[in-house]
Amino acid sequence: MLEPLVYGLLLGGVLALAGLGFTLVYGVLDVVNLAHGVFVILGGYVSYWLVNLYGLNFWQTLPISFCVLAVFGYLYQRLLVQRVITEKILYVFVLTFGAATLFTNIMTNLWTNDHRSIDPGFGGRYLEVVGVIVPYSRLVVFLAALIIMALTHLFLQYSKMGKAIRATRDNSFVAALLGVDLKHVYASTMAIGAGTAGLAGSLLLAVLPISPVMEIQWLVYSIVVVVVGGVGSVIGTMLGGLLLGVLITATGWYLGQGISVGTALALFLAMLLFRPTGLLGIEHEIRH
Amino acid sequence: MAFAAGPTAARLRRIAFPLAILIVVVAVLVAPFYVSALTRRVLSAIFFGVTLGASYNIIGGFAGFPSFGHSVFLGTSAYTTAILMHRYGITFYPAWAAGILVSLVVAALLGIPLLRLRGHYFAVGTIMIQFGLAEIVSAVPYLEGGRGWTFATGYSYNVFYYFFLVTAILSVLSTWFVRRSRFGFGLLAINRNEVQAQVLGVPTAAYKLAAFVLSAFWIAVLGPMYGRYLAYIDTTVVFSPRISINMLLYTLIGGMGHVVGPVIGAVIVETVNNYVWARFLEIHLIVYGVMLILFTLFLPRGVLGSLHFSPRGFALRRPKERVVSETLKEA
Repeated sequence: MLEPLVYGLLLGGVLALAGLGFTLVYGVLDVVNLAHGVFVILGGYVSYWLVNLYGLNFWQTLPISFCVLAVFGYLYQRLLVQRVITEKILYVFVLTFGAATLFTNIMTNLWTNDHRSIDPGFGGRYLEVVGVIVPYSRLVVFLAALIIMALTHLFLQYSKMGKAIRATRDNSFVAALLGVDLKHVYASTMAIGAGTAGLAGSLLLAVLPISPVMEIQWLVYSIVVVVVGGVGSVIGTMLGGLLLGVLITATGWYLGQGISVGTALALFLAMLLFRPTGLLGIEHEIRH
Repeated sequence: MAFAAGPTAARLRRIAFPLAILIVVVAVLVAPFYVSALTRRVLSAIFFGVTLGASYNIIGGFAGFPSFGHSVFLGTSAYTTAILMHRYGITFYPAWAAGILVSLVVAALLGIPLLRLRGHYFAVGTIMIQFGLAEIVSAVPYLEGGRGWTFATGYSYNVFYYFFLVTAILSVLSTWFVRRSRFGFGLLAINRNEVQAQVLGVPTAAYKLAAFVLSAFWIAVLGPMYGRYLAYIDTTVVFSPRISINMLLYTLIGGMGHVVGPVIGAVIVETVNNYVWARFLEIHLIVYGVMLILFTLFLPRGVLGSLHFSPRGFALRRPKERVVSETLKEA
């Protein structure tokens, strides 16, 4: 009874971190980035290859994963998404879906669909809390996800770029009038979104196996986390991640694996029907 | 000379289009007896695509609700038919009818909550339906989604060819009727501005739902026959996100909201698909992704949307004037 709860909460940290970038991009750019799952998986692969080819310590790969994905995200926004951002949303969807298909299949061709995972350096050591066996790796990954989310929050609150991003989110017209370079801010937002997604992927690698085709799964999770938590709320994203984590772990525990996306769908529909603004959505309506 | 040339040219122009259609129709009618098996298969794929695209056009093109999950109706009818045949021993035709019916009911049930959403949320909702439903069908033992179902083919490939041809023609005709009807104008009004349409007396909720269910109809009709054509289905085949995106792609490339758009789109995509990509099996999906990106960037209005028809023929339409930022308009 307690195991799915604890494991679910611990997985929820990674889910929330994956959703954070998605909600940031959606909130600021008004873009549903269907390539978000690719960012997660790509981040995981960056860490995987750094550890396996260059012998780095797993924790050393995290900043590199963030930087690689941030550059990738910046270019992705600047070169592709920015070109359709003023068009109907249909084009943004098709473009980002095309990009997701492209990147996923490049990854599949380069690295196959084998499942990859990594030991973050705790061996099999675990902690026993009220009869539940909690591996250190899961616990530390959870804490790391929390810390990264807190740092992102601080960055958005206090740094100059963070302030520009929030100003753009609140009113891009006034932000542009006050000298904010919208294209640069959009691309930076995408960079942070991609970077945190990449970190989520790296952390994910330490607790669960990944493969390129899983990008869909992680895209769906990110969307659900955001819909549950409400767009534009870091705390809400955290809550959404934890709730989704517990739900998919519990259904996996009792009903068998392979229904996790279905569970996410059920949660998504329930949220849309009963609380469309999300748990902690900031003045966001379902109208476009 | 000029005195006589004018009316003759006008008369020629008037009959040129129906004549061209007549030639194409006759050509495709006799084609299976003259072309190779490969060409016949490609043509079948094109007709299949035309039907999907034309159906999709009603909700995606006319009403402007971009669905990313329409292949679930293909899957629902195919699975219903297979289950009725295998589990209850019902013969194909009643099972087919039941499959269509179930698919339409599913469309209505999904449409009611989904169509209350707008913009991003509608699209995201259909994406969720696409992936979630496929996984649920795979996971429920009764539906045998993961293992899939077999179909006895039972027909020659010519029969499938004509079946796909007939559904293609009927589906395009039905979109033509919709386009010219009061209902169609209502959908176009919804596409432009839903609130204004409602204010002007368009029953938006009913029209949207009707468009959604209607757009599922021909897709549902295809499902079981597609199963027989392939002899085997599973969720990766009929609940495929690729098929959903392809429908969108046919309409997008041909020209969203144009009746003949999906025809042009399906011809282009399926020809490229079967003759070009088949040579690059390994990187097939990479090319597919690149094609999606290039079309969105460089031909966003589609073939028909980019051409400007005038009495003197047609020319490439001038590029749309781009606004610097949408938000600049808002404020």
